[in-house]
Amino acid sequence: MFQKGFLRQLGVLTVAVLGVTLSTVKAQSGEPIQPLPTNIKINDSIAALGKQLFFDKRLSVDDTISCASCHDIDGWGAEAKSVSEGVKKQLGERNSPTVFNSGLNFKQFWDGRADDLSHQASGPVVNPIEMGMPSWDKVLEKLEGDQEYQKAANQLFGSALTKDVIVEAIAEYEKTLLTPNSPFDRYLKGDAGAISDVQKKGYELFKSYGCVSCHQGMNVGGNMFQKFGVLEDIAMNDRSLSNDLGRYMVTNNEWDKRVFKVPSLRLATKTAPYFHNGSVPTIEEAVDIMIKFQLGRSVPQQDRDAIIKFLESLVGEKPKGS
Amino acid sequence: MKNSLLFALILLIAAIGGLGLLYLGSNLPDNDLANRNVNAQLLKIDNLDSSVNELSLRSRANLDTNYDLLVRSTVALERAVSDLSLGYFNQEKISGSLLETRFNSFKATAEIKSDQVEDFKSHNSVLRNSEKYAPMVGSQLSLIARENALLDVENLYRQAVIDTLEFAKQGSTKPVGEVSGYADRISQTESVMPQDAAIKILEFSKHVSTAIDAKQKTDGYLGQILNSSLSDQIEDLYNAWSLWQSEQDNSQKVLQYCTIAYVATMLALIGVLAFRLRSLYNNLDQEVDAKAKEIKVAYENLHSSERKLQQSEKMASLGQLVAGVAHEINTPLGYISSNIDTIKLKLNKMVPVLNKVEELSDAASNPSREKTALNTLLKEQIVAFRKIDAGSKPERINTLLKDSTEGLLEIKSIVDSLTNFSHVEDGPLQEVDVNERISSTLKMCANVVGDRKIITNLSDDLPMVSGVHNQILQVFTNIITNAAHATDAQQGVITVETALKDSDVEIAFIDNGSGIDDESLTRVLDPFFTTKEVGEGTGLGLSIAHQIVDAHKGELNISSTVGEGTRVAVLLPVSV
Repeated sequence: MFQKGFLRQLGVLTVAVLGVTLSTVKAQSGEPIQPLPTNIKINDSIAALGKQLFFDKRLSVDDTISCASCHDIDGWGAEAKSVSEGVKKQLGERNSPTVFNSGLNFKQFWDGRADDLSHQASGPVVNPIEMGMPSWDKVLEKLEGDQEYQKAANQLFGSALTKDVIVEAIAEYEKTLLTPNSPFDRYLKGDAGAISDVQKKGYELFKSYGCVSCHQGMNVGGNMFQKFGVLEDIAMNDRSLSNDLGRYMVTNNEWDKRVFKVPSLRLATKTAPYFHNGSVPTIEEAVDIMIKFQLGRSVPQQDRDAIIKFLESLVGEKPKGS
Repeated sequence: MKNSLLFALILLIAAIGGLGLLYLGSNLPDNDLANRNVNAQLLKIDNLDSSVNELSLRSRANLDTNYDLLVRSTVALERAVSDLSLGYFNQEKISGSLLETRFNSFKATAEIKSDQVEDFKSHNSVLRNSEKYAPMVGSQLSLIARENALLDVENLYRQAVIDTLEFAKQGSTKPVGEVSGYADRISQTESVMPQDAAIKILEFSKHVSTAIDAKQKTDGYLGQILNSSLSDQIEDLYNAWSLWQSEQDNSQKVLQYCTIAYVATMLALIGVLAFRLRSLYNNLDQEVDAKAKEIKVAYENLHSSERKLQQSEKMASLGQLVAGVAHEINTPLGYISSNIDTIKLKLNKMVPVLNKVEELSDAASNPSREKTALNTLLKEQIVAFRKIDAGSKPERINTLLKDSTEGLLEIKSIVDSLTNFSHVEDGPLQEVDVNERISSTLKMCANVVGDRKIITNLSDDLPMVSGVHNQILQVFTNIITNAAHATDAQQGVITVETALKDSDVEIAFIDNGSGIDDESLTRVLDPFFTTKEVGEGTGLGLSIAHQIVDAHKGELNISSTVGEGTRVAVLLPVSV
């Protein structure tokens, strides 16, 4: 028989432990936004292999595009273009989100169709308008002769270079790309002078306007889905924001029309242009659109600017591993 | 079947059977471990499910102001289910079972729950904003309405705020339809309110309707989350797993039966082997007995052959001896016989003289004797006596008789030697005069020696040795016979020497014969070793001599050079 009695006890215990954990968290800070971790468990050797692969243009059909082509590591892990340019100058439909802190997102892609980084990494390589490889077999064929890769794969995974090895390694590298120790994180940890008064006011506005309802957690977003235009029809906006049906394309649920993953705002002020199709060039317009269509209200310029100042305080150090 | 073949066959069967069982066994899952792991995984899922419920409630109650923990639990729950479907509940493995049906339904429930959590989070966030902003904008509008003395509108706004809040927070006593109506009623106040309030009225209306809508959806999803049957299905799932496991147990039973069959087969085969070994053992006993008997018979045969050989050697020696003896006796017998013939002739010539003596005696004793007749008779007597030749005189006869007597004595001495030799039994130890024994030997061996020259070089003052007369005679006889055979019948020279060597008397026989090569020399003392033609020698001569010398605590040493001759030395200890 299933050990139900024991299970119940364990359940009670778990809830108790959870309660203690939660109350501890609350005791540390009741804030909806939490600091980024400064210390994560990484296999450095696998991450090193992942970094090589991340920059390897041979992962594209004509050796022109690597992961780093659209996720500029020297920039802020994204690119300035509205939508990415794939092989043969083909344009995609969505804006490349920053790869920084992406390991903290609960799902990957704008529509959340990938559960984790390795799942995500397997997509663009064989996407015909991104890196354009006809198949993963062709990728492996291409890299078969690379002794360095084969040796590393054998050492780290005990196998030849496979799709799994490649995407796991890239994912491991991407996990290292965090931007910790932002002024706001330091403020959260008790350094009251880490951010300016305007930024403090911006944070209060960010909460009182309700931005924080969705942009919360340590990644200030990236842990839930939300409908674009929840209080106001996004089609009313003159950008092309309503064309993309978002998660509906994945689930076919009526409610999922124009539902997207709530993006992290950690690097929002560094990664223009904005939204899923990169159609909004400035942070000011982006904040305006959010407050109007998501929060169903208008915002004075002073408040909006304070909020933007607050968003600037979320930018941390560039990843060490980059 | 050969035993080794049988044994190899049994080993082969044992090995194949063992490997088969191992293969069967290794293909079976480790049930205990699997049970523990599945149980642990299901417990984990149940706990994560509880966590998701708990954290959803906390989010709904604003106890948690972000979704990080809820996300962590949700992701962990999805992973845990996915781990099961990749591992123990692998589709291919459990295909067609109740477990598959239940697990599919379980997975579907988990997926639905995941979607519900996402929907809950989205609507909960919206609700949070609207239930906060609606009262805020409602209050502002109430003030504007009061300033414009629009009491009904102000009341509507106030009531809308209260009812919306009440509805959003804990559910209203008022029917949903009535609360839902506020949005439209607020919108309608736009016409009576000042123009600059239009935007706020729109916002208020939207947020009231959003709050009411989001509240229903949020609580709807929350209710579905909390009432999800995931936890209840876990028990069914575990029961299905147990059932599936027990079905797998059937294959374990098969393995058990196979093991029993294997053990039984092996026991039977070992039994056969034991039986074979036992009969083999019995046969072995019998065979050993038979062989022992054979060996005993062979040994006895050999022993008797040896005795017969020894006897025939003795007989052969005796034959040679008899020949020699016959020759020796023949000579004196010849002249004795001839002497007797001669004496007979001479006595016949004496008969007429003796007859005349009788006539003379009768006449002389007659009283009427005539002198003339007596004279005549006397004359005739003298004539008859004178007719006898000188050779027939009694002196001559005496000489012949004396010679014959000597011949008879010689024969007597030969017969004495013969008597000694024929006395084959081991006699008691006696004081033996070695030189005398050599003389006797040479006498008896005269026939074998023939024309070969015998040189004796015997020490005068030899002490006596302790031994058996006849046996020592036989030793010497055998050695001299060999020496004679090894030498040329005309040119052969055999030297016999005796000397005192420390506490031994050494008797050496040296011949100038063909000699013995080194290889043969090592074997000359072996019984039956002979270089003579078949039938000529028994090969026992030296062997017997050696045995006898050994029995006398003496030594027999042989040295030889091929082409020059052989020296056989017998050492006999001096009698104490």
